Amino acid sequence: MKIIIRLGILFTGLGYILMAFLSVLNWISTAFSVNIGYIPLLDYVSNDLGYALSTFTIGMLFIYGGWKGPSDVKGLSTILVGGILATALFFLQLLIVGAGIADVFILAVAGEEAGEYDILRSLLQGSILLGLPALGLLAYSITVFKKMNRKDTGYGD
Amino acid sequence: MMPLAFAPEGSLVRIIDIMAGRGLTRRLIEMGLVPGSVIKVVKTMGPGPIVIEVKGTRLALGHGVSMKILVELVEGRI
Amino acid sequence: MSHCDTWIPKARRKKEKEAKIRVALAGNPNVGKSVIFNELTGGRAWVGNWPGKTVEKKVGVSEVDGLELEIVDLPGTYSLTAYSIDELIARNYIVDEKPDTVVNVVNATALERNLYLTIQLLELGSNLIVALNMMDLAEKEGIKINVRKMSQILGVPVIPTVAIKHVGLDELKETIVKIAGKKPKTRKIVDYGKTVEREIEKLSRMARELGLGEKYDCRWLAIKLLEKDSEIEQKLLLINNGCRLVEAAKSSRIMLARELGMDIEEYMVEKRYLRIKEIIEACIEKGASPEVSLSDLVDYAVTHRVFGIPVMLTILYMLFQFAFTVAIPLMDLMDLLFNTYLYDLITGSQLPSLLKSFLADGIVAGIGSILVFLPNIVLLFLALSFLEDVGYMARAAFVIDRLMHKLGLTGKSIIPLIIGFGCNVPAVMATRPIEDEDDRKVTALVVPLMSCSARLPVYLLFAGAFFPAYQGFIVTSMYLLGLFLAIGVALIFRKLVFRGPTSAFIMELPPYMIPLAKNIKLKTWERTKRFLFKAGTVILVGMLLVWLLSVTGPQGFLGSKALEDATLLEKSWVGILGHLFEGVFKPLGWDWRAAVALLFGFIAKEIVVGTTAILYGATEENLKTVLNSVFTPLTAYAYMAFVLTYVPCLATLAAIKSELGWKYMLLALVYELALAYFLALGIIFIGKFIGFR
Repeated sequence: MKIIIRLGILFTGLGYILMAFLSVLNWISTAFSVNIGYIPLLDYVSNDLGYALSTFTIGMLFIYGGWKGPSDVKGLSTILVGGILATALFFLQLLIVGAGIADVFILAVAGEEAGEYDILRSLLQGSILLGLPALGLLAYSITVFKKMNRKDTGYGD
Repeated sequence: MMPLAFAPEGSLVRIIDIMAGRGLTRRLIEMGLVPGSVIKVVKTMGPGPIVIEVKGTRLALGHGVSMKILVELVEGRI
Repeated sequence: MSHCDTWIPKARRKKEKEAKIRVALAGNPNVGKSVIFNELTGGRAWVGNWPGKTVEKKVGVSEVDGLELEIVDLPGTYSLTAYSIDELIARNYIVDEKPDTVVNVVNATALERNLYLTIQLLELGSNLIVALNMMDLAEKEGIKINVRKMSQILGVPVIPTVAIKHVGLDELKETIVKIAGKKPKTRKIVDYGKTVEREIEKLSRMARELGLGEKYDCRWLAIKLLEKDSEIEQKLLLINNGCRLVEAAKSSRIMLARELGMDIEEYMVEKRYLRIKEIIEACIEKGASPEVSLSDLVDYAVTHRVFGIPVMLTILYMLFQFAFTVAIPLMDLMDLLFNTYLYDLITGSQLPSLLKSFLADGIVAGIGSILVFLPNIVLLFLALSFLEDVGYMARAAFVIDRLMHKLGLTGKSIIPLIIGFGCNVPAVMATRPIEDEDDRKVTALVVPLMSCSARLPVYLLFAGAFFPAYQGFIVTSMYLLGLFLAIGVALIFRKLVFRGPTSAFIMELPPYMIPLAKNIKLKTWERTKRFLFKAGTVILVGMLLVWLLSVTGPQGFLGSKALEDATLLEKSWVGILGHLFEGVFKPLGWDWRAAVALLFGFIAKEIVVGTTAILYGATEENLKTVLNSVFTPLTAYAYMAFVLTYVPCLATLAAIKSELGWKYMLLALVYELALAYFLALGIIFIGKFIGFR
């Protein structure tokens, strides 16, 4: 059971790293008008370098945490923090989508020219998709922590 | 005896002396770093700031400061 | 009193003399003092400065049983020495103003440290109540405190509280009223040992003979003199025969140093801590504490030597995304409301054209330019307040301290620099908590190089007009340029001008806490208010001035048409000024209109774009094409860099003046102008060299 969890954490981490990589590619193609050809996954990540850094960080935290394992204080710490950051990113993305919708709305009501807003596509962003397992990891690490502190009941690990 | 900066992470050390100017010494003493008291080294990042636990609270000290506090080991890594 | 009177509490009798009870709040930083302040005053507070100082003074009002309480929040301190402004302010308030009650807010989970200040307050002779806060956390950590015993030992009321849940506060208020105005007797809280006590006795007797007993607690004076307290010495030297007391203290010190064999100050501090230990042992039962707290667990990764900075950058990224992107719909809303609806409403009305122009182009445009950024700034402050209250900011400062030191700054500089990306004005004000003078000055001087949100429209306009394909990249390069310049300037200032030693970094890392929504809201509101008033008034006045200078000229009144007609504008004062500066800007390839826009930008960078549009007689749509005929990509980039650097906006200058004084305000003005000019020149030169036009 433990092994499965650790692998899960590792894979989530790898997923975030992949997002970071794609994001950088995306950025290069937008900023320098270079044509990289069509990589299907590129639509699911933002082309913002800060985003790349953030997802990379989260990925590294998960990978380290998965490697060390949640029974190790250091590992648990990185899983927890990674989970917190990933969850924050998840909610941030939701907020951004909300803002986008609101913006189109406001501009339309005022009669100004408003762009289109593809809700589905913005919701399918990597940060949201991977955010779900990340949320799970966050919850998991908190339960592990709580269990840790109850070890003075004598039942030990 | 060594500067606090070199104390290993997780150890308990006793403060022997503070070799700093008046103002700094005063501030440190008031934060609880009194010669004779025992503090815990929570985190040390090699050359860089360290985190200690003194009188029940966490304190972050810069490298320069931790070099000026002389301590002796009470208990090694826990 | 007649037989019909019921017993009136002393506080009510006082009502005849003074209608209110004055309370001072003292305590360590991070103990929930401001939470108690907020809870007691319910937001009815105002913020100012302590007279003659740059330290913030918070005063609020509260009510108990029909009696009014005036509550002063003293700066958070660990002690009451003469070594820092905060401590001096706190203790002088108690000594000079003699508040009716002093409430010492104490963190129940850190008694050993907190009681140190309590002892100082007791020795000072304050009419004290101890509010033992964070009792819930203490319980969680297994700390059980015998409150009655503590009250007995200290000789003052001790009230357990959980401020964030409003527990114990009613009792606190009642006790404040109950003991208000009492004059505590001199007590010996700490016994300093026979030899030292003998000298204390001697000196306090002398002090009493000099008549100092009226104002001061003489035992306290004696103790301070033995500690060689510089402020007390200064004050004594100013009164009749005070020098004798000072001299006597000096000889006592020499004698004691010999007998004790150690520094007296250190000796006394040790004695205090010993006493504190005794008190704690008598009053506390410490249960089993958890091995690792949640805070520790999080801190491992957050302050990790490798992960620490990436985590910080991630949090910063999310902070800015939140403040900028989520604010967009609100900003558009503001823009529509002011710059479109209201503006059109006024211009379409039947008012006389001059009044119309004054209202529309002066006032509405002025207020509009500020309000458009309001959502952005509010969100930024909201996020920052959240991070502060959670406890993360202390970790951020810690993580980045070493890097900052190499750049001549301190870890605590990071917060103002981050705020600076939203608006420079509150950023300058946020440099206050930096203790080291030199660090504070350098940080404040470097803040204007952080590209505030007002500069963004300028970047977007020019980047969009000249580098349409690489727009995002160019804009980012401006931000980065600002950062590099900041690093360079900080280093130069540190090496040449402010050569003081780099300050020692000592910072308390409070445990992480789930912040109270109420407190975040209050903090955000306070900061926003300050921004609106300081920046708002300056910008508004500036805009009106600009308007005035545009519709009048040496030939007299030109009328509001001047704002739409560039040839007419040329004849106004604004145009004259522009031509005056033209020569200066010739080598950079900018014409008089660009110069005028820069002049307006001095007031507030937000109005550069609008002004540029008017000056070139363009509308929003064709502005880009018009610009293309006046600038080249090279000169445009140089222009953007100039806007980034040239001068802090008027409001920022005002903030610098109020924090650091005229001298530094002028320094900021001059160094940035010079930097901007040579930077732009350099860009043009290098560009031409590489082959651009």
